[in-house]
Amino acid sequence: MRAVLDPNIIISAALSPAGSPARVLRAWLDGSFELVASPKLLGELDRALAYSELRKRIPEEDARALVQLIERGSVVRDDPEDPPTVSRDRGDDYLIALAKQNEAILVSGDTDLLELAPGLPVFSAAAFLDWLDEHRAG
Amino acid sequence: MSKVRTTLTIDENVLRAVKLRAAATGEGESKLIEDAVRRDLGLDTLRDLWAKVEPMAEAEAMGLALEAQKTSRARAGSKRR
Repeated sequence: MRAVLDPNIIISAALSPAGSPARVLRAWLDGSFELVASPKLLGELDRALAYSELRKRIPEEDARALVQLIERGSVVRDDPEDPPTVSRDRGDDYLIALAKQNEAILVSGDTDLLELAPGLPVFSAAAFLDWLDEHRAG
Repeated sequence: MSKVRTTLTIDENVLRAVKLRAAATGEGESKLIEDAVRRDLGLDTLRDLWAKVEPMAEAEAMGLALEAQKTSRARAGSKRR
């Protein structure tokens, strides 16, 4: 199974080791699913990690290592060309298109995206963990 | 983590280098190879990061992550204009 992780999931995982996003990243490292990324997603992650309030908590060197971890461990696909408008925030549309294009689940902490479920396969981190458990059990 | 036995095919020069390093350091060949793979794949990246970061509650962490994402998008958008 494949998943696209919204950059907010990756950043939240870095900040909160006991939270659901961190458990999603652990599940990925344990081989429970294949991670799909794209140049735009990696660029957005990199830029967001440079945000001043985050930089106070995550030093540049660790931020770089985190982006590298995602880049080297994921299947990096081309960015979707001209993604259709689906979300309230136009900036989220490429994530939906990337997931759709690669038959992947999108995992996000953004309510604008989570409101699109169940019409689209968009899961919160906690819901995705439940889904993984059910899938393993089934 | 439990250990599993496996069989790999690797370059003989690489294996020779592993054996030499193991003899020089007194470490097992399996550990040397495992450590190299862990480093290369960045498998300890999160563990190292979590050891340094002051942990936040999940909701607070997501709030900050969303703020960082929206701010960086707005900045990238204004640069393009």
